[in-house]
Amino acid sequence: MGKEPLLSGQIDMLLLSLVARGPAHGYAIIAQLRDRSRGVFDLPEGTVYPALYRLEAAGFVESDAEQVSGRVRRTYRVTRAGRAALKERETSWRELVRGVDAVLRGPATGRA
Amino acid sequence: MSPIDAYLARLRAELKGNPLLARRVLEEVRDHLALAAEEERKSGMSDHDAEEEAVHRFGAPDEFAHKFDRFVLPFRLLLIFMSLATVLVGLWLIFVITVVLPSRDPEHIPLWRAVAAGFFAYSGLTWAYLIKGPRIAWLRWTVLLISLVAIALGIYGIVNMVMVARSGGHFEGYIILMGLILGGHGLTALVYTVLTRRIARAVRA
Repeated sequence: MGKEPLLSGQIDMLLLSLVARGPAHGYAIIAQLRDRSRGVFDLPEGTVYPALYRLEAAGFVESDAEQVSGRVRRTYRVTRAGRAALKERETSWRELVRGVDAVLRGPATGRA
Repeated sequence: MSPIDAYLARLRAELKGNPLLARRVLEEVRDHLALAAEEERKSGMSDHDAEEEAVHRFGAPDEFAHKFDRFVLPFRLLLIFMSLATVLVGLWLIFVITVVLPSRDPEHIPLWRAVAAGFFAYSGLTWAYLIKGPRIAWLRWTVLLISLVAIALGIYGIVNMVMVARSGGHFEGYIILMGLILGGHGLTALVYTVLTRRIARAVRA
């Protein structure tokens, strides 16, 4: 199975989580996603920007632009609402993982 | 043309219907590709190959361009514009109150003062809403509520003036202009709020 469809519903939470660790620009964020996931989320790098714009439109991150080496670099930081949304998503994600794990690891109950 | 410039030209073409979004996206992608190429060069690639690899890592421009929500940014800028127009109307009213009304219609000065104050307050709240984003609930609801009132007042002002003019009364074009700015401001704020809330719900889901 391709990773992108599997990830599409979770990319916002993952990016929010990375930005919550400290302000970062898009390139650093996608590099962190790749490194922290140990290569599991080795996505086309452009994937990060539409998601960051979504998070900004939703008020979960904010950004500032600055000139670096003659180019415009935009740095993203999490907002208070973003931290609250992340906490909410993390809780439901952990519940889901616990539930799935319990089913997968549970004792066999099949009838002969 | 270098691979990065060629890529940005293709991306610009994909985003051509939305110049406001295109400008910000292109600046950001240019920086990203430059950083990626720099990394590839450090690993020993030639300039050209490093840029080719950076572009390859980024993904196809058409797929990338179609993942953006195309409406939020234009509506945000339109809301900034409408809120500036609202301030201008307030300033114009101050001028009228100070220069014109004392000699022509002094008894209506308190009413127009209140209207001018309303325009400034609405504009100020809209600015706060734009700066703080849609994340402060009370601010969002206040702007939303005032926007609904603004739309109603704008429509009322325009319709009323058209009816007056039709029945042979004195037509006052500035009322139409004020109605359009107030109603337009309200409508833009309403659409912007709906768009941003829809996105916030999708992110939370």
